[in-house]
Amino acid sequence: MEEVTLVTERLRVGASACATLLAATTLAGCSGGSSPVVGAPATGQASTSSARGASPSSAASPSVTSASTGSTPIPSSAWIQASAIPLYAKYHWTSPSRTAKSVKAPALSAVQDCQFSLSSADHAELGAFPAARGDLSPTSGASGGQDDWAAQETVLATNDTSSGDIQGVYHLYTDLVADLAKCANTASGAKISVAVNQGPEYAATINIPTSTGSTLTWHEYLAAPYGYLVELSVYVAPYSGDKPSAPWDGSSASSVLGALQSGPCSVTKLC
Amino acid sequence: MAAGDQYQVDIASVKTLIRAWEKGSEEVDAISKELSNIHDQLTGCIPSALSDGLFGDVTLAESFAKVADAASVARAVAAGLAQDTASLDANLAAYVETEASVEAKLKSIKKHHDGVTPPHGPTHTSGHGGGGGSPRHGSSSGGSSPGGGGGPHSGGSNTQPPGPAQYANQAQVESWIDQAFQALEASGVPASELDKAGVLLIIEHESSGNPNAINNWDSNAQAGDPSRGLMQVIGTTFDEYKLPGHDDIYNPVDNIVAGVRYALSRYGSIQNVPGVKSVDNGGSYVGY
Repeated sequence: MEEVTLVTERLRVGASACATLLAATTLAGCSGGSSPVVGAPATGQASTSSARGASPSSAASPSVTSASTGSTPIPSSAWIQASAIPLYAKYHWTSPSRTAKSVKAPALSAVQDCQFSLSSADHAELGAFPAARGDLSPTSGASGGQDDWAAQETVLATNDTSSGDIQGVYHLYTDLVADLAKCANTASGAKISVAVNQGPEYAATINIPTSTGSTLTWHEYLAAPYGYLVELSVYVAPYSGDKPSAPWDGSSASSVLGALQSGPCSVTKLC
Repeated sequence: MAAGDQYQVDIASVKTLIRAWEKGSEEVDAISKELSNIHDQLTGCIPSALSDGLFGDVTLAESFAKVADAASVARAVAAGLAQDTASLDANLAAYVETEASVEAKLKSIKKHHDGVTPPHGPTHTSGHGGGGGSPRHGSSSGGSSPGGGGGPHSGGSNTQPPGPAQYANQAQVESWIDQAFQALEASGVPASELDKAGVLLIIEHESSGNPNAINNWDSNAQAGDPSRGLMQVIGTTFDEYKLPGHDDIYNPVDNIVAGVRYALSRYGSIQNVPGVKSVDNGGSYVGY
């Protein structure tokens, strides 16, 4: 530990020296030296995209990049098969693995739509690992209007087997489930019906009145297979008085959760 | 067995780090020399009368002084880095020597532990260290080697104890497990769910029986919540799964209580913990 302290002190002194040098060059009106002391700001951040058009959320959307953020990408096999997503027979969803984009600290549907605030620890956990989100749209059977269902999958992967990281992501999951249970407290008028809540698997249907007079109907599937956090949400918020363009197909929550986890489990082989 | 394997210390990485530190020292030294040259050239190019008179009380004189100061500080940093490099080299050599000595002693102790009946599967004694014979590991390929202060499972540096490492022997660890199981049973956990061999395996791989083990390398450690203690639980896990009266994460019994409750909640059973399952199936241990 003494050596570590010594090293830290040296780096601190070194940084001080660099700051002094920069101040000196500024005062003298000189250009900086050749040593790349100060890193350039991060580049490659594209504009923010909204996750849920019909969402009553007021949460900030994440930065989304179409290119790699430099972190390990999510394996394509980790994504749910499109055919396993509810309403596939009607809409023939695009494949999440093809539409996914890297996201830093993704804004999960649970957080956005229930409008709760993550703890700083959970927020840090979300930002600590590679993540990506796939916004899915129907390839057939849809009118392109507000009455169509939409879907979204978010995947976060630790990409390691450290007990600390595995526990950290699981703790994030349990916090999300606990916050979802209190959705009515944070999203006015929310009604929640839990279908599965066992171990690392959770599924619920949530209805939330929106500011436009319509109601957001949202099927939430959340799971924490080994080393992963995965969320699938299928939702619709038709104009007030309208019905969704397709009735809910009665997909089994357990089946969807199984399909949602099969990808990560096939990657890690540790489920 | 190569030096460092026994305790999951990647000697090659440490040596690479030392070389990188050495290179950094040389680069800082070069910067300090460049600064000195700049200072000399500036001083030589501009008549002192000009700098002292027309501008001397404004910017140039101050700038010259700061450049000189920066060069001086950079020289000191370079010297310090060089000193650190030498210190790292010396510490590495001392570590390798100590490990060889400890390993020799462990081999001697191990002779007294031969003949332990494995509750799960055949006994594998190869590569064992840190405190007695776990029946469940040893045949894994490419996985974490046991006995290493709670090591990483897929790279990274090793865990470091916050205080003196206290590698308990298997009898001591089993005694702690027994005490923890008593507390767990008293809290309502069925005895049938308390798999002693499985917990022992987890402890051996996570901390090698060192209640002071702490992981300083993974994401949670970087976020300020490192995994700690015998079962390497992070603070949030410990807080969520500890039992009343068992509030010390470094207390071996308290740590086991929280770790077992987490494992049961997360995986349903100790046998279903991925690392335990993997080892039982002849694979490598992984974190939980």
